[in-house]
Amino acid sequence: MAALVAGANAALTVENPGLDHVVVGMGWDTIPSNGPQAELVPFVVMCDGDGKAVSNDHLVFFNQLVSADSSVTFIGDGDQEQIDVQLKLVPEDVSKIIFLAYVDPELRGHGSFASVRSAHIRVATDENRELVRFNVSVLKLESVTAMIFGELYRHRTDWKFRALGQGYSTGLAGVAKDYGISL
Amino acid sequence: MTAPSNPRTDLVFLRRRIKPGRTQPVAAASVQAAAPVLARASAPPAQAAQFPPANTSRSAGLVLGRGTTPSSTSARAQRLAARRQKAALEDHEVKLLFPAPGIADVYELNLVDRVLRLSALQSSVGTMVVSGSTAIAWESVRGVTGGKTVDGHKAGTPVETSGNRELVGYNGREALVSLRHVRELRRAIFINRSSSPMGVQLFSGDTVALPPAADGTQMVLLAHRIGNVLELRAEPVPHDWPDIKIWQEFDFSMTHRAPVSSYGR
Repeated sequence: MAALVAGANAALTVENPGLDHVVVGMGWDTIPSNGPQAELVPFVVMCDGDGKAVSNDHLVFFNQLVSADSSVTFIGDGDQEQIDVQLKLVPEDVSKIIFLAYVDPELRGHGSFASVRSAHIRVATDENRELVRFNVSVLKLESVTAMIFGELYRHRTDWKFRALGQGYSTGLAGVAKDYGISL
Repeated sequence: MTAPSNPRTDLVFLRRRIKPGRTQPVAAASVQAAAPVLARASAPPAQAAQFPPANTSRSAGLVLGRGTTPSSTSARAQRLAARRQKAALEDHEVKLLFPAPGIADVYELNLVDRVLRLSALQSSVGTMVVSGSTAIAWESVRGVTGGKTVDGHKAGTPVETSGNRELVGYNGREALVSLRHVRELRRAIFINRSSSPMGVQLFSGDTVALPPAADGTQMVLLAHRIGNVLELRAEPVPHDWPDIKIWQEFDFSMTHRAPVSSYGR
């Protein structure tokens, strides 16, 4: 198991020949509150070569559990959320898969990542053998309302994972603008 | 209001009517039974054909384990298969619906444009704000039913979400639906007694209006979840009906919490 820092990458399929199926786990702790509290929503975007979402059918989240091509499936488990990715089923026009979480923009006090601790993302085999892990450490979390944890991306015929930890102060709207998602 | 001359295309329940004798051919059914993975509606036709038909027998629905590798017997593989099946069934359910415009296509829900349908993303982000309503009622997927007026009168049982907010409730004079928890919602109605129109706004900024009462008819907004999408409908009811009569008309029966002392004593 390798621990990554922000910006580092890991050659998943080169170092693990025959790997065609990974489980990406995203987790965090939230400081409990008696009042309305920030609700983080894990979200997956399948991007084309230009780095834009292929379509809204290529988003995977709690209300759209499976991608259009059935390669990415949203499942819950020991991490807060797990996303199952069958690499061989990912269409050729998908060059990377972004894993992020946003604070739900609820009108009654949506909050920020300020109440979030121990955020992490991990990539494991389908038998739950952890391959890489990234513990997200971002400063000024009180202004962050969405964060890209990491991405799976194609490198020639292989798949790599890159740790990111990129925060947005503009929430899902900012992410949607950057990745061409139609809200 | 006159009776429409065309067949009603906005009644969801009509999709359940299946003509007797229109059964799946045996060969096609066997192909479906062997399919290990259920594809989403937007998948290519060859995959989409693997959807279970509406009249599939019960045994045909339990086929996910067949033809898969031995590892599929693991708990993880079973969860994966269950998620895919759930998504496929939801897509299939939505696919059966009559076509409906999106919120960007409709300026006002009225007697002509009665219904619109949100996308899965629109149905699940942020808060749906309904301004101008004077009373609301809701029903969760677990059958918890309640109602409120903008003046603060309550009936039934509220549905609290894990974010410590009401699933459907008032914030000031605006009725709100917490879309992060849309999957807990079965339906909600929004009643307007005022002389001003009602308005609906989503996180995307898209809006739609409902006209105020006119000619003895008032418009009730019905938000109804079907699969993973919300459908918004304008339902006309007589203006002189009280709220409780409207609840009855929409088959809302308020639930009440049993006293704590009645449990396990």
